[in-house]
Amino acid sequence: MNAPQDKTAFRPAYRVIGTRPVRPDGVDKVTGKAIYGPDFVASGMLQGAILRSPHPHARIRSINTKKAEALPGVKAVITGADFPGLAALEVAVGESSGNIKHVGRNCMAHEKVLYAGHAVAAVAATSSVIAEEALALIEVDYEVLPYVLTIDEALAADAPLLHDDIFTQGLDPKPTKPSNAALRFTIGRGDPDAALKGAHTVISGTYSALPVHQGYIEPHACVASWNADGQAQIWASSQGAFMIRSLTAAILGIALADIRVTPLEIGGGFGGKTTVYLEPVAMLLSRKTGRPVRLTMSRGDVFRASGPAPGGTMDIQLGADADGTITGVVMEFKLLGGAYPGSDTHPGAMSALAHYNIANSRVTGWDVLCNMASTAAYRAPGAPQTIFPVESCIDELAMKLGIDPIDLRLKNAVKPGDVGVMGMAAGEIGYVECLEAAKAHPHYSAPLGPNQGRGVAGGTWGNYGGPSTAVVSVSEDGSVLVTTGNPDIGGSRASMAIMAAETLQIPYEKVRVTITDTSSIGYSMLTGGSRTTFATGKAVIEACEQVIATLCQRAAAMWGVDAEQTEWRDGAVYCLSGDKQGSSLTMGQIAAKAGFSGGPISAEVSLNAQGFLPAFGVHICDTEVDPETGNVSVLRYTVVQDVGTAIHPDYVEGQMQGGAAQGIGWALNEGYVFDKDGRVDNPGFLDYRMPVCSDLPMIDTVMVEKPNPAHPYGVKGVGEVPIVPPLGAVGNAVSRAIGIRMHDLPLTPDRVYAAIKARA
Amino acid sequence: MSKLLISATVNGDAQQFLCDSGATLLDALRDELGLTGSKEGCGSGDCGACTVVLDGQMVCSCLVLAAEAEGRTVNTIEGVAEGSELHPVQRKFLEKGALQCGFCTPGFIVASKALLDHNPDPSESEVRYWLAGNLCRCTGYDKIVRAVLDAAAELRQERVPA
Amino acid sequence: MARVQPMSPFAEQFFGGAQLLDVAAGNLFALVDALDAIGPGFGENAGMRVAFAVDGTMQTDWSAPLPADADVMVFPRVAGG
Repeated sequence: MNAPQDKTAFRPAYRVIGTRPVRPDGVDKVTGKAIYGPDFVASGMLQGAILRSPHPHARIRSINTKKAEALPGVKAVITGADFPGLAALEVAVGESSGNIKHVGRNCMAHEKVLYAGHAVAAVAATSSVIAEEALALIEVDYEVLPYVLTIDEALAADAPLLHDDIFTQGLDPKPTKPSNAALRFTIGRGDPDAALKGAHTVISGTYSALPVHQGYIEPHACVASWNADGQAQIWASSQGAFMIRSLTAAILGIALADIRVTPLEIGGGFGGKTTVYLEPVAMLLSRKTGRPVRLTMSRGDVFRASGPAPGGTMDIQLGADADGTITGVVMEFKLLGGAYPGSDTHPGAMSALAHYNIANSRVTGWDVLCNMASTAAYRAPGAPQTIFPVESCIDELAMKLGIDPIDLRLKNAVKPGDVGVMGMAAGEIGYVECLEAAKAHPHYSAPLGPNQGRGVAGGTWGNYGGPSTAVVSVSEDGSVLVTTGNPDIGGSRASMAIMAAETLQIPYEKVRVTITDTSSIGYSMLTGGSRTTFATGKAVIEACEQVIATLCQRAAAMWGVDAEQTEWRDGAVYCLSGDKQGSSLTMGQIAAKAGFSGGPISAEVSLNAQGFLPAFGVHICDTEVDPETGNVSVLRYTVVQDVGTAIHPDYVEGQMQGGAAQGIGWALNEGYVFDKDGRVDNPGFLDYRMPVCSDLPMIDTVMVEKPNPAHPYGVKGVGEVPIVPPLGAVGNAVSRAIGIRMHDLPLTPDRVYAAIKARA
Repeated sequence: MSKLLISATVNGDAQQFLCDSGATLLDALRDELGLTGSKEGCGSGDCGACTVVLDGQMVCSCLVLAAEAEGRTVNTIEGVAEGSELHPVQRKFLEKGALQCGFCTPGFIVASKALLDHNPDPSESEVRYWLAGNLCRCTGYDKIVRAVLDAAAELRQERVPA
Repeated sequence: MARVQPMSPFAEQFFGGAQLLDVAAGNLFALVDALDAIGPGFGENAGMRVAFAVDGTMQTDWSAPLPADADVMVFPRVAGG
C-alpha cells in the first residue's frame, strides 16, 4: 500500500488536479433544472409575507392583527410576541459567533424597530396575493424615535441609542453608560508614535467607503414545515445548512436533531447567507398553521433587511525611511455596523497591515451601531475597507519617493518566517511571488494614453479551516460517491470530485458528488471563510485514503496475503508477492464481492482542519477618466494571486475575476444612499449600480501556485482575497489618471468631476 | 377575483394555464407551469434572470403580464436544449466554467442564444452590450463572454455547408 | 508555565487590562479553566469568541498537549464570508 506521496516539496505531476472538467452539477444548471431557494415546493404549502417597518427607529406601542386574521385565506399572523423569550446567548456561526438574542430580534422586532425594513409581523395565507393584502390590514402603532445613520451622528454625545444594554467593549475602565459604539479593538506593536516622529516621510489621510451589498442575484428564500410531534424540516438556500439548523434551533429553543435542514442550490452568498432572516419566522408560521410555509424576500427586502457590508471612515498616518522602508503606521477606523454589534472590526484591524512587515504599528477599530440593517459578512469581511487606505498611502509614498510601487511593496512585503503583530510566524505564503509576477506581467509595462492611470494594490485575507465531514462510498460496480454537507456556491462539487479522483487514481467521471441534509451526515462548518476546498477537501481525501486501505485489505484477504503485500495503483489493487504476484483487482471487482467479505466499502471522516494559510493578491488596474464628465472606465485589469494549488483552475480564476468585479463595483459605483426619512433610497438593481457586462474588460488572471504544506495537495483558500485589492487598485489608478489623490469611495463621476474642477 | 384562462405555445407545446389578471408571465411559468428555470432576481426588469423569448423577442418575463402571452409563443431555458442535446451556448458555458452559483445562468443562456440567433458573429463589445441587461455577481463576466464568443464560432462552423 | 497574552478586548473585559499572564496548563481546555478562574466569565466566552495561537500557530484543537513554556496568544475569533 502506498500512501499518497508527499506533495509538499513542489508541485508534482498530478493526473486530475489542475484539469478543467465539466462540473458535476453543470447540466442541471444550464438547463434550468437545478432547484434553488425560491424554487422548492412542498405539498400543501402556504405562502408567507413579512410586514416591515417604514421607520428607521421606533418603539412599537402595539400591533393589531385582527383584521388581517379575519381576511379569508389567511391562516396565521405572528409578531415578535410569538417568539420565545431570547436569552443573550452566544451561538457558533461559521468561524465566529452570533449573539442569539440579536439574531432572533433581527428576524422579528420586539418592542423596538432598529431600521427601516425591520420585520414586525408575518402572515401565512393560501396565496401570495392574499398574504400581501393581509399585511396592509395589520395596524402597527409606532412611537417614532430619532435615528442615526452616520458615524458622527451615532457617536454624538446626545445621540439616540439603539440599545440601552450595549456598553463599549474593549475600554478600560469599563464604561458606565451605554453607547452606540459596541466595540473598540486595538492591535499593534513597537512604538509607532516615535517611528512617525522620526520618519523621513509621513503620508497621512482620511479615507471613507460606503456600505455596500453582497448583491447575490438569488433573494433569500425558504420553506419550513414544523409538525405537531416537534420535528421540523427546512428547505433553504444558504452557505450552511448546519448554520441554519443551529441558529433556528437556538432562537426557537428546540433540539438540533428535531430540525432537518435540506440545502437547496444557492444563488450566490459572498458571506451574506451566513445567518438566518426568514427560517425562524417560517417555522413559527408553520407551527401555527400545521402546514409548510414559504417565505421569500423581494429585492427591496434584500437591500433593506439583509447584508450589507459596513462602510466607514479610516484615518491613517504612515511613516517611511528615504529608501521606502515603512517604519511606522498609526491607523484608526470606524465601521458603521448597522443595527446590531458584530461588524467586521476584528478582522479589519487584523488584516489592515498583515501583508507588510512593519516594526511599529497601532490599528484601532470601532464597531459603531446605526439605524441600518445589521451588517453581514461580505467576502474577506473588513479587509477591503481597512486595506484601501494602506494601499493608497503606499501609492502616494511611491510617488513621493520616486520608487516603483511594486518595488516599494516588495521592500516591505511579509515573507515566510516573518513574525506578525499577533506573534505568529508566517508560513509558506506567496506575497513576494505575487508582486514579482505582477511586475513581470506585460500589463505592468504596457503604454498608457492621455487621461489614463495605472494603479497597483496588494491585499491579504486570513482564510480558515475548521470542522468538516465527508463520506466516500464505493458502489457495487466500483463507481464512487462523495457526500459532503457544504453547499456548492461556486464549483466545489467539481473540486471535491477532482481531489477524490486524484487520491483514488481513477477518472474524474467515476466520482459523483452529493451535498446532503443535516440529518444525513456529520457536522460541517458553513461554506465561507475560503475554507471548503481546504477543510472539506481534506476530509474527502482522508476518506478516500481509508477506502483505499479497506480495498487493499479486501483484496489481500481474497489473495491470502497481508495487506502490506498489496499496492494501490491506477484505481486497482496489485498483488506484490506470493502465487498471485502481478494479479490485480479493480474497485468494481472488489466491491462486487463486498457482501462476501467485510460488507460495504465506505468511510466517513470528520475532522477539524488545521494548517490553513492566508491568501495574498496583487491587482493591476488601468483606468481612463473623462475630464468632461468625471466618468471612469476600467480599460484593463489583471489579478495575480497565490492560490496554493488550483484544483479546478476555471473556478479558481472565476473567484479571482468575480471578486475583482465586486471590488471594482465598490470602488466605482456601489453604495447605500438614504433618503430624508432614513430609508434606503436605492433598494433595487437600477439605482444600486453593480457592474454589468459592458462596464468591464476581460479580467486577466495569474495563478501563482505556492503549495500549502498542511494540505495533501497544497490547497490555500482562494475565494475571499480577490475583493481586497480592487479598492486600492482602482483608487490608485484614478488618482494617477487625474493627478489628485482620491480618498472617498465610490469614485462616482460627480466626485471625480468635482475633484478635477476644484483643482482647475 | 376570477382567473383568466390563457393559451400559449411554451417551448413548442400547446399549454393552457390559469392566472390572476395581475400575475406576471414569470409567475405563470414558475407557479402554473412548473418551469422554475426562469428566476426572479429583482422583479423590476433589472437583472435579466427571468429572460425568455416571446414571439422571437427577448423580454424580462417579470415585466410581461401572463395574460399577454395569450396566443403567443414563449421559449424558456427549459426549451433551449434539443431533447438531451445541449445547445452549443449551454455546452460552452460548461466547458468554459462560465457559471459559479448558476442562478443567473438560465437568463444568460436564453439571452446569449437570442443574440446568436440575430447575430452569428458578434464582437466582444457587442456581446457585452447585448448582455448588459443580465446581472452576474459571481464571475466578473469574463468567462461568460468567452463562452458566448466560442459558441458563436462553433455555430458558424456548423453553418458552413459541407 | 505557559505565557499567555490576552489581546483586546479580552484583556480589558476579563483580566483588568493585563498584558501577560503565567498559567500552568497541560492543554487549552485546562488553560481556559485556569483563565476562567482569573477572569470569571472568560470560559463561557472562550468557546464562541476566542481563538488561540500556540507558539505562533493557530490551534483549534484544545486537547493538543501544551508545551510547558508555550507562548499563547488569546485573540478574537473572526468570521469569513
